[in-house]
Amino acid sequence: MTHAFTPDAARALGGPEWLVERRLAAAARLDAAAPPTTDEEIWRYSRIDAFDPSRWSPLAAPGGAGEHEVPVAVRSVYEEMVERCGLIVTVNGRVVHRELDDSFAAKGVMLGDLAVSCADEARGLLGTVAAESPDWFTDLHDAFLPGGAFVFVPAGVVLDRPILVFHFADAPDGSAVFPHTLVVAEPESEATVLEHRSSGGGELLISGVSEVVVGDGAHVNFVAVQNHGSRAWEIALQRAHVGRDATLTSSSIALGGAYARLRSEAHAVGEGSSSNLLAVYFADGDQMLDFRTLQDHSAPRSHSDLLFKGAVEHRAHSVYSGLIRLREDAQKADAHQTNRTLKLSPESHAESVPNLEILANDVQCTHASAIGPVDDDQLYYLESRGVPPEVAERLVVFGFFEDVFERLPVGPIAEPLRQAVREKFERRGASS
Amino acid sequence: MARAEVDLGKYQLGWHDDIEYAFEPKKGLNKAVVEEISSMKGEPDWMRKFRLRSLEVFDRKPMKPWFADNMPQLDFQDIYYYLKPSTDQVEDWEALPENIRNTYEKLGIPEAERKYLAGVTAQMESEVVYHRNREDLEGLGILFSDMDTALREHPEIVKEYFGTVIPPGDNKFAALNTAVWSGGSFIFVPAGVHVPMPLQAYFRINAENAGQFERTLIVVEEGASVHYVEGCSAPVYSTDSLHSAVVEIIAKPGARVQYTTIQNWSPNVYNLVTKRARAEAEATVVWIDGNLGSKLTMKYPSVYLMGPKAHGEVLSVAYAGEGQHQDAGAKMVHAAPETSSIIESKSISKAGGRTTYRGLVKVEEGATNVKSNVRCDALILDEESRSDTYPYQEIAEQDVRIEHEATVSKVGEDQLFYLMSRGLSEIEAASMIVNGFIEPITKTLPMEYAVELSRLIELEMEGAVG
Repeated sequence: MTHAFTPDAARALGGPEWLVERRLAAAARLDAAAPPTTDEEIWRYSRIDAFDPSRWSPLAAPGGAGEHEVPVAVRSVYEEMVERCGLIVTVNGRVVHRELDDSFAAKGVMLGDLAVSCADEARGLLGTVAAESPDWFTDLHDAFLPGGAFVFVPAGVVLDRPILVFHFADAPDGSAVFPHTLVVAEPESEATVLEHRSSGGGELLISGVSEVVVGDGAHVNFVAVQNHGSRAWEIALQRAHVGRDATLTSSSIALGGAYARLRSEAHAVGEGSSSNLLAVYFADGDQMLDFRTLQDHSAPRSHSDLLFKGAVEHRAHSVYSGLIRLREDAQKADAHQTNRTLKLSPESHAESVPNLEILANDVQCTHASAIGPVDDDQLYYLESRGVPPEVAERLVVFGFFEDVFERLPVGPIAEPLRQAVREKFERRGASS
Repeated sequence: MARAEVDLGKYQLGWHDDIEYAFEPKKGLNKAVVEEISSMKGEPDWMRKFRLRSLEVFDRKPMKPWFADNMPQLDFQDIYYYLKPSTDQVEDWEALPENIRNTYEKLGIPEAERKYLAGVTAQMESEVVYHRNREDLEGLGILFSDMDTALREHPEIVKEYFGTVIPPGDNKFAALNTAVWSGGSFIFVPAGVHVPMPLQAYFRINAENAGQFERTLIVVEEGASVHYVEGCSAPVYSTDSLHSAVVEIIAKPGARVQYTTIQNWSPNVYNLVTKRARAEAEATVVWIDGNLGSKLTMKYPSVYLMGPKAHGEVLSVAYAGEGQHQDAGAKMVHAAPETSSIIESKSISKAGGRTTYRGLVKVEEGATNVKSNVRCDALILDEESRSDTYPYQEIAEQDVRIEHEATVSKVGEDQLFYLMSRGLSEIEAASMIVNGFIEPITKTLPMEYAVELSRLIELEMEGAVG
């Protein structure tokens, strides 16, 4: 298959030697493989058959080095957000702005571009979590990532405010961009990272990878907001390794994109670790939001819980396909998985496939999924109290999402996220 | 318990009678074999052509990926596709040769007869060797025979429905069955008739590497009802044996069909069955499926709910012991408004066994006001065993209520402790808990089957705890 993602194009991106070599190795793998098709189980129900690699091309390296302006569209969002202790902004995958509270910089916290300012520190850490490329798109990402956000929290350091990572994509139609986030939380540290991914209105392919390393005894809240333009295609991987007695809460708010796919994975590699995976999604118009989750337990006494709740309206389509895998060594693990989807109109589609693969016996494992319309009884109750029907529906839908927001570990972060979902809900129909 | 030394790695009913085979073709599958089967049976031309077309589909069609994963060693050319025992069909039990009678004595068929269960169609290899249709059934206009007889005596009914619910192109094994089918049951219940007792048949495989490809067709006319019961048992052999059946059910408006299977193949059998029912308006189809034996079972009984208010149920129990994989499930396709379905699956894995639930609930466009409830519970009895759940849900309508729930756990220590503190041994306590676990399914079975299933579970539980 001919496309512009060639080893030569990957070589031309430049940067530190180790990164160039890593890109070339991935480009070679990419060259040897074909893009996936819906015949593969993990791509079933997806829109991958409409993907034509020859229609896309990577962005060339920008002419001059150095940092660029922060786009107004991004600044206006983070200026309204919670207090922060650090900020990284990338545009088309390259860091254009960063700031970090001095007191934390003094404690060894690092924020920077993994190809530029933190290239030495990121070497050897990049890909530790996403090393086994699960598919063609991770190879594509690895072959063309120009750099990305690097967040490093040293052992024992507790961040009292969130770090914000903003990935913005804006390029001519047909461009492919490769944002990357690498969060390393060393043992006994604590951090909250909010990753915000958005794009201009162009027809873009966004192939992102976010890696989170949660060291032994560390606590990480990773909150991701996806608010891409209505013509964007996003294929993203989010993967975390959770160490001994560590906790991770990984939350996703997915709203934008023509086709937006997220593989969200939590690997319980340490004994006694705990992961919470949460998501709220809302698709309207002709959108398709596609989630593949994995709770992979290879350590004893590990715990994981997943709650994904979404709504689909108009002709929109949502896919939830999740797997809990309890490996032989995961004795005394407990793992749970719940997916609920509200169907707000007759033409909308939803698929839900909560899978279990259990290879250990002394475990507790449950999953549940439900698909249905807004509850008539709840609407009736509200309407009988004089609430107009449209308002009643909105209240029921927000109430449906609320139990995910309530599980977000950091209260102040929940409010702007609630707001983002509400805004999309209020302007639904605009795109139908 | 006195049975403490029982080792279920050795199959309980695993004897082997020497039977003379009247016709023993070569192994392997090709056009000549299919032609030979058809001409031996003296079939009408349309069936011969249908078989040949199906063989082409079989050759062309790739295996579903999980089929290929599950049985990498299966060699289609190393299997007998048709065997005919030396006896012709008989109406009188005593007229059967002694060795065949012995086989059935061990299976308890005469007892079933004495108990007035129903006309017995016992299948040995690929032909029905013994069949007696009870006169009172005939009086009601109910047709109950083997498929070969039905094709001779009621070709118009067979031709109208054969292959309409499961066309040969459905999957590779449906194509295989349609090409080489032999035996199986045929039931036709006229409009408004309620069959007063369960109809029953036993199936056995009895030759090494003998494929058994029975074909069952059940047509239940408007407002009629029937309960069909099928039990399976086969002796132990050292090489793998392939069983690939097709069961088609047509439930006309307002009809009710229940199909109960207790399957206990010996641990070297590949059991790949396509079972599907078409439920028209206000019809009900219930599949009850107990899978205990075999090396590998892949069976996903399905109901296509084609008319308004049709209802489908699949209730299943799977037990996988050493070296066994039970890959079973259910499929409900809601193609009409106000249809409903229930799937309840209970699985138990032990001694390295693996159970898999694989299911689909699909709601087509236009199927409004649909309800579906799926519940899968799995017990894993030791560290070597494994359980998987793959429940698919594809929903194209808004006004539907689809629920799925699953749990996986081990036998609760507090439950064991409670029972043992009341004086039960650990094995007795565990058997009781496991039997309680599958109780929602066993209580739907005819009593003889419920007792048999419960006893089999008790036997399997020996040595399970510790």
